[in-house]
Amino acid sequence: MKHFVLFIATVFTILFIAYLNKNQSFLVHDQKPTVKIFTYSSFSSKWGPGPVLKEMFEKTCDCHVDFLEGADAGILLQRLKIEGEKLGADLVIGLDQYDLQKAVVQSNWRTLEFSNLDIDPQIKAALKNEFFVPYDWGVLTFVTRDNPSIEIPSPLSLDQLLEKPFFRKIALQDPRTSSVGLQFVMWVLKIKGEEAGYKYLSQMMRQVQSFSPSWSASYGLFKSGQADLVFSYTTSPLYNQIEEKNTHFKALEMVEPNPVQVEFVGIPTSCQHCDLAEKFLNVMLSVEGQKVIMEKNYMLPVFKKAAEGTAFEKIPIPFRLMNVQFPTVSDIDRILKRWSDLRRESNL
Amino acid sequence: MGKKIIPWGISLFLLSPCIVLVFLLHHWAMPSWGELFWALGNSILQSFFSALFALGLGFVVALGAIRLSPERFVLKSIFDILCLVTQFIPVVVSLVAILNLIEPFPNGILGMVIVHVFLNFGLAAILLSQHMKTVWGETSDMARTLGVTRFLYWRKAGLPLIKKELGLIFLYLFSLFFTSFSVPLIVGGGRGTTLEILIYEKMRLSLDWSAAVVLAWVQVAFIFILSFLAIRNRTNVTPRNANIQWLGSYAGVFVLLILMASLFAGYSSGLVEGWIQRRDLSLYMNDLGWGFLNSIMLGLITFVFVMVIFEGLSWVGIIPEWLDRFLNGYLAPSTSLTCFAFLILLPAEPIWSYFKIPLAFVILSAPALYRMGFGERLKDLHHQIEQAKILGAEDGAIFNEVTWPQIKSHARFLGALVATWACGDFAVARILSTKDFTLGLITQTLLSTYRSSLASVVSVLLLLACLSCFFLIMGWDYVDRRKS
Repeated sequence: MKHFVLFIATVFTILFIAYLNKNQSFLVHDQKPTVKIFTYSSFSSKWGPGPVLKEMFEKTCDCHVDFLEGADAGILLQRLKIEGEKLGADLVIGLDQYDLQKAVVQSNWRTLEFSNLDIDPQIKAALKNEFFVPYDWGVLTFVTRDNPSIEIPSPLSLDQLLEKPFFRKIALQDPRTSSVGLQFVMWVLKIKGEEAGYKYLSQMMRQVQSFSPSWSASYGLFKSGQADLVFSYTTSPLYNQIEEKNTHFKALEMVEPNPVQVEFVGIPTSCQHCDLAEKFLNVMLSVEGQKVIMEKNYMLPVFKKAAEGTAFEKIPIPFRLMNVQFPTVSDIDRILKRWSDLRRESNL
Repeated sequence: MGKKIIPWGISLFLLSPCIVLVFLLHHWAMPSWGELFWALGNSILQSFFSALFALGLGFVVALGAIRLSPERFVLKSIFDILCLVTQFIPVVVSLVAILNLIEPFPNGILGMVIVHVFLNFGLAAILLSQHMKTVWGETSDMARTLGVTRFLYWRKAGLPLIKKELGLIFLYLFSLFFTSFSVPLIVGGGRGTTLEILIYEKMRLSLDWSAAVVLAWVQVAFIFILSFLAIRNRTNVTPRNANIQWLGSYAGVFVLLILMASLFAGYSSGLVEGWIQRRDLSLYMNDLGWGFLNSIMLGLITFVFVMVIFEGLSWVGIIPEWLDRFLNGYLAPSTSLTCFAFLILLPAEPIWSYFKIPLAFVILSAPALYRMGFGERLKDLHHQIEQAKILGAEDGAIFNEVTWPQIKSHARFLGALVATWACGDFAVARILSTKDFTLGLITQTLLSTYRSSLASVVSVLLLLACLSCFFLIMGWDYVDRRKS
C-alpha cells in the first residue's frame, strides 16, 4: 500500500506542478485577455484555418486566442448546453444550417448585424437569421474516380442511382451522426417531396455500400476502393489534386439542383470578451481571412472575391444550387425518425 | 471502518454517472416499444454471435499462446502484440483493411460479427491463455504422466475446467459488443440500429436526453440480469502455475499469423501512401512528441485509478455479497452518456482532461475487470484471509502479506489492458477534452481532414505508445515480482 500511495502522490504532484506551470505561463503571457473560441478539431488543427487566423488576429488585438475543441457541431452544441458559462466560450465556430434552430433553442446568442455583407448571391438566404453569420460554404454532390467499375452517366440523376449497376457502389453517411448524411436526406426530400422522397430513400438503402458515422469515414472507404461513388463536396477532388497530387477524382454534375452546406459562427451571450470575439469574426470575414479558410478548410468563401486567382475559382459550379433551408428542430427529428424506420424496415 | 466505507465508496463512484443523469431527467420520455425491441434484438443478436465466434477463435489462438515457451520472451511478446494490435489501430483503419479482404462484404448481423471477431479474438486469446495457465496447471502434469493425449485432455478436462472462465470472458465480450458504436453504424446495414446507437441518436437529436437515459437504463438492466444468470452455479478451482506447453498447439500461432498478415496487407496500403506524404507531418512534429507522452501519461493515470479500486477491494478482502453481485452485473450507462455526465461534474479547464478521461475509463471498465477474474481470484483467497484473522493478524498485515501479493500480478495485467485502451482512445477523449493532446485525437483529426493515409502513419506511433504503456506496466510488475 505504501508504494502505491507514493505512486499516486507522485502523479498528483506532477499534475499540480503542471497546473501551476499553466497558471505561471498565463502570467508570463502578461495581462492580455484570452479569447476562447469553441470549434471543431479540424478547424483548429495545424492544417486547419484556425492557427493562421489566430496569428493574424493576435498581431492586432493585443490579446491571446485559445481554441477549445469539440468533435463536431452536435457535440459542440451539447457541450455548450451542459457546460455553458463554465466553458467560457466567446465565439462558436462550425454550426451548419441544420444546427442553427437547435442552437437557438438550447443557448442564448448575441444579435449580429451583418445583413449588409456583400455575400455570394448563391447563399444570400443564409443571412436570414440574426444570431449567426456564414463564414464558408460548400456544394455537395457525388464524387467518383477515373475508371470506376461502372459506367456513370453525366449529368447523373438521383433516379439513376437506383439502377442495378449502382448496387452496393455508393458510400453515404448516417444522417443521425453526420451533417453531410443529413444533407443527402434533406436534398432527396426537397427534390422529390416528402412521400416520394421517403420511397426513394427506402430504395436507396439497398444501393448503399455503407452508411458511415462520419463524412471522413465514408470518404476513406471510397478512397480505398470500397465504393465507386461517395457523397461529398465539389471541392474534395481539389484537395486530392493540390495536397496529394492525385488527379483521379472528380465531382459529378447532377441533373437536380445540388444541396448547399453553409457553416456559421455565433457569439454566445455568456461571452467574456464579446468585443474581441466580434473582432475575430471580422477577421474571418475579411478577404484575407476568407482566403485562409478557403485554402485550409477546402470550402468556398462567402465572398467571391476571395477565390479570385486561386484554384477554387476554377471549380466548375455549373450546378444549379438549392436554396439554403432552415428546418425546425422538430422537422429534423421527425425526418430522422422516419429515416431510422426506413433503415430498420429495409432489414439489409 | 474503512472496510465499510470502501465498498460504498466504490459503488457510489461507479454509479456517479447514473446519479448525475437522474438529475438531468426533467420528464420521462419513453422511446417507442417497436424501436426499443428492434434495437435490443439487434444488439443481442450481434453481440451473442460476435462473442461466441470471438471466443471460439480466441480459444484456438490461446492454444498457440500456451504452446510458445515462456522462456522465449521476445517471441512471446511479439505474439501478445499481434493479439492486441487491433485494439490500438483506429477502427476505421482496421475496417478498411477488413473490407478489402472480403468482397462483397456482407452488411448486417454477419458483417458486424465478422468485424467484431476480427478485432477482438486476439484479446479473447490473451485472456483465455492467462486462465489456462493457472487453471490447467493443476491437472496437466498428472494427465501427462498418465499418457493422456492433448485432444482427450481438452475434451475431458481442459474445457470443463475453464467453463467458468469461458463464461466470464464470453460475458465480457458480449458487453463489449453490446455497447459497440462504430462497427454497427458502418457495417450493420438495416440491423445496425443497436441500443447504443439509439442512445446516441436520442442524445444527439433530443434536447432533454430523457429517452437516451431511459434506453441507457434498459441497457444497464439487461446486462445486469444476464450477468446475474450467467454467474450462478459456478465452481471454484485452486490456481497453480505449471508447465502446460504440451497442451498448446502451433495451429493457434498459424491462425494468428494468417489473420494478422491479411489485416496488415490492407493496413500497409494506407501506410505506404502515408509514408510518401510524411513530410506533411512536419507541422505536427512537436505535437506528435507531446501526444506520445500525453497518451502514455493518460494510460498510466488510468492504471493508477484502476489500481486504487483493486487495492481498495483487496483491502476489504472478503467482498460483501451485495457488492459482489453489483460488480458482477453492473455496466456503465453508454460511453457517451458517461462522458457527458463527467462534463457536468468536473471543470472545463484542459488540465482536468487528465482526470476526467481516466476516471471515465475506470467507470467504464472496472466492473468488467472484476468479472474478468479479479473477483474470482479474490474469492479464492477468502479461506486464507479468514485463517489469518483467526490467528489475530491485523488488516494491514493481511493485505500486505496475504491478499495483495497473491492478486497483484493479475490486477496489474487487467490494469495494463485498460491503461492501453485509454492510451489509444479517441472516442472518450474527444468528448471530454478541449485540445488534440493525445495521439488518438491527432489521428482522428487527420482522418476528419481527408488525411487518412497520414492517420495510418500516426497510428503506428499510437501503436508504439500503447505498447510502451502496456510493457512499462508489465515490465514493472515483472521486476517487482522478481524482487519479492
